This record gives sequence, C-alpha cells and structure tokens, in this order.
Amino acid sequence: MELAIDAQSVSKTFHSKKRATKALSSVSLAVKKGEVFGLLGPNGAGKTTLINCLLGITTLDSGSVRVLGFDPDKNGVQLREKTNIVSGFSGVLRGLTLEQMLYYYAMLYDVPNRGRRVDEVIKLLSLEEKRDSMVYLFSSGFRQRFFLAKALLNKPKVLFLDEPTVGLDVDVAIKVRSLIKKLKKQGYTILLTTHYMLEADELCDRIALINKGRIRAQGTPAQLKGLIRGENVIEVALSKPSGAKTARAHFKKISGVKSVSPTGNILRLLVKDYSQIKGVMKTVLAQKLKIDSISIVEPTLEEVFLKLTNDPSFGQKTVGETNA
Amino acid sequence: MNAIRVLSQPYKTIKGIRENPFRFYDFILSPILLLYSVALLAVFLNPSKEIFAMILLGTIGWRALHATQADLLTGYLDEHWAETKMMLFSSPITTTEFVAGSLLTGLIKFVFVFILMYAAIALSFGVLVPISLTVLYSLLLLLAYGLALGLLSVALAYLYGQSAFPFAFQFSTFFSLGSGAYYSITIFPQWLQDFLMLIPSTHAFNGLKSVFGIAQVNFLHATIITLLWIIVCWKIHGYAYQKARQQGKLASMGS
Repeated sequence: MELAIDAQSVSKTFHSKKRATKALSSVSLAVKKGEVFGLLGPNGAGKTTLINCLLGITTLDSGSVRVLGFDPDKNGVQLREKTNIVSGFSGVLRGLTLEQMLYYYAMLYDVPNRGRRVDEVIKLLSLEEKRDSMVYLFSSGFRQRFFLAKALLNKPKVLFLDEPTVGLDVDVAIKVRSLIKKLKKQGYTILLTTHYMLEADELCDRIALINKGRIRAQGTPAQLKGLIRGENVIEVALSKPSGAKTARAHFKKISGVKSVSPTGNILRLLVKDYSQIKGVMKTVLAQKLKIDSISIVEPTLEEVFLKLTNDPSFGQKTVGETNA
Repeated sequence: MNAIRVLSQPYKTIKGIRENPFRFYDFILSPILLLYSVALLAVFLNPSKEIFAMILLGTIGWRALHATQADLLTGYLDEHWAETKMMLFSSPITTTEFVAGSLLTGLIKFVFVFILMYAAIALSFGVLVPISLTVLYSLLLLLAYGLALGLLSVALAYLYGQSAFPFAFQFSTFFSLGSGAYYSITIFPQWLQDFLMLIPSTHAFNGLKSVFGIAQVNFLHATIITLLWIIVCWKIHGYAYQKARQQGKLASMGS
C-alpha cells in the first residue's frame, strides 16, 4: 500500500545557551494512506516536534521525511497545499468573525470557490449560529470545531491532529472524537498525536508509543497490548458465590483452560488463548450456571506504555506490519 | 507567487481593523498626532513658508517609511501575539508571498494616511503640499526603504521573538530622525554626513527637500542604494527564517 507519511531516522536537537535538548532521536514511522495513525506519548515526548518536521516548519538534523512523496525542505509549498493541521495549542487571530477567519485561511490555501467551501465547512461542523461571531470569544468547544473546520477547508490528503482534545471538557472531547471517526470513515489519512491512551485506543488503526524523543513501540492497539500480555485471562462473574465450587470444576474440564482461581463470586480462568471463551460460554449454557458477566481481561495501552518506558530491557519494539 | 495568498494579508488586516485598536491607532491617530506635534512647534517658531511646507512634507515622508516597515512587522506580530504562527507556517504561503502581502497592506494604509495628512495640512494650515514626480518618487523610495527595514525587523522577530519588538518598532523613527526628515543634514559634521549618505532615507528626504530648493538629490544613487539595502535585508531575512526553522521558533508559541 502507498505511504502517506514516511519518516526515516529523524533526529532533532534544540540548542539553547544553557543546554541541548534532544527532541527526536532516530524516529522512523510509516503511515499508510487512509489510515489513522496515533503518536502516543506524554507532554514533551517529541510528538509536536515530529509534526513540525513533517510539515517543514522545523528542520531536521538528520534523517529523511516524505509526506505524500514530497520532501518538506524542497517541496514545502506543494506538501502544505495537500495537508492541514489542528493544533490543540494554537490561539486564534483577534478581530475576525468565524466566516472571515475561515475565508482568510481559505485564501492562504488558495481554496477554489472559497465562499462556497467556507459555507460547506461551517455546515459540516454545525457552526451556522456562530458565523458572524468573533472566533477569539468562542468557548473551547466551538473553538475546536473552528480548528477542525479550518483544517478541512482544502480537503487535505493528510490531516495532522495535534492534541485535538487537550484541555476540552469531557462532552466536547467526545464530540471531537466522534468527528474524527467520521473523517476516518471518509478516508482521510490522519496523524493523531495525543497523550490520552484511551483516545488513541479508540481512534487509531496503528499507534507509535513515543517517549523522550524515541519511538518505543509501534503496531495496532491489540499488537501493542500483546507486547506485555504474559497471560490470557477470562473472568466469569457468578451471580452467587455459592456456585463457585461447582462452576470451577466444570471450567477446569475445558480444553485450553490451564487453571481456575476463585475470588468471591469471580472466577479467574487462565487460558491458552482467547478462543477458549467459546468453551466457557458453552459450559455456562450446558450447566445452566447463573452468571452476571464473562469478560476478557486485556492490558490497557497505559500499562503497555508504563512497561515500555520504565523497563529499559524492553528496548524498541515493532509489531505487525510497519512498512506497507 | 500566488496572488490570492498575497491578498490574504491585507484581507486579514483590513477585516480585523474594527476590532483591533492598535491597527486603528496606527493609521489614523498616530499620523495625525505626529503631524500636529511637529507642525504646531513649527508654527510657534514661525519659519518661512518654504521651510514650513518642507517640515510638513517631512512628516508625510516619515509616515511613508513607517507604513511599510511597521506593516511588515505587525503582519508577523499579529500571528505571534495570537499564537497562530503554527497555523500560518503550516499553510502553503511562502515568505515571499507573506512579505508581499504585508507590503501591500502597508501601501494601502499609506495611501489612506497620505490623503488624511494632506487634507489635514490643507485644512489646518492652508498649505497645499506639492505633488510632483520628485515628491512621489521620493515617497516611493521611502516606502521601498521601509520594506528593507521591515525585512530587518521581521528577521529580528524571527530570531529573538518578544524581546526584539521594542527595538524593531523604532527602526523607522531612528532612520527618519537620522536622515533629516525635517532639517538639512548639513548641520552634522562632514564625516557623519558622508555616513548618512549610505542610508536611502537621507536621499529620499533630500528629494522631498529639493522641491523647496533646500537640498539636492541624485535619484540614480538613491535608487541603487535603496535596492542594495533591500537585497541585503532580504538575505538577512532569509537567513533569519532558516535559523528560526532550525531552532523551532516558527512553531513556538509566544516566545
């Protein structure tokens, strides 16, 4: 599959009078067209610096970058014509209404039929009521919708979403995530940076975990979770603790179940792999066991991240297909 | 060069004027204050009619120099103060288009300022400032020199951010005063006069004064020196832009 973003061994160090800060250290990643790729890491991990390098706003010290086949240094204008960005850290110009502001950015991108396109994105983001309002007076939710509207003006081939939900109220963040899902369905290639693990898990096809300027691991959310999965656990919550002894005996008989340990009305089944859940369900039905729930216990991305960043022996992990 | 992207800059400024007191001050109040403070002092000193007209024309020249220099700088500063540099520089606009757009904004505002000051001079003091080719070319040189100083100001802003602003804003005042906006530079010692002749605004103000027979101007020299300044300042601007990219300052917020 064709790559939308191809970064190879990108390194960047910022020098000040007092010290040198290594922002990126041999970062490589490949984002396929139509994919939502997450760059997940804490504040100061190097996520925004990488986006700046990809867009040519900041130069690289070494390595190479291609976005839609364009080198940001040599073909920066062509590259930026076909991309756009939402930055959670950006401000807004004073003195312009929503319509004027969008028109201004439409001019910067030389969008054809500017007036009509501005109307379209206003409608798309449900901003009609704010058309003549000053953007700098918007609440954070409306402001974020403005940023998204601005980012869609030129129908970008690659959309950079840099911490799009940072500092937003929960309900607004949910709306923004829902918009991102819509864009994903429409086939946009998206590079999403976030330090919210659940957000990355929910939205991204693949994720790179970045910390202190280094990519620690990349792969699909499931593959990343698999990196620290030492054991596969299925939990069965019985309706009453009294049935635990009988249920335990039945579950032990299932092929692939290594052990069953009870804790109150919860039975923790250590299984060979998660396909054993079928056997568990069959047993529940056959033995008419009264249960509240059956669940697969998976590690979270948070646990993966902590493991990767706190355990130096873990090294750099690449799981699954990375270079399409 | 993309004309639409160039026009985006005057669009941003002109549409934003009503909500931006600084912009309003810059092209209405500030030139009027300058005009009356200088003109009223001149009235008190009771100069000849020619000297008085030369002083008034000098204030217009000062504003020409200021218009292009300040608008180049404020075009960038608007984005800096609003913390929108990231959105500006992630768009396809080139530095050439950005500079051309800001220059165009300055030129539009100067036309307005010129009419305003011309009318104020005529109505308040009964003086009709001569509009000859010499005057117009001299003003054009001042606008062009303002472009060079603007490039220098923006270069400083790229590299030093907030801390460069007070200094960068005073460029046009410094050079206007130094190159004899309202007086003849013959009041200075010869070595300083020789040095001042390396500054384009000295020639341009001499051009304005030549209308009253107070100074002489060689427009060929003036044009060459102005062009040289623009070329050198353009190079410095380009260097500063690349340095700012290297240091990550184009994307930084408010520093």
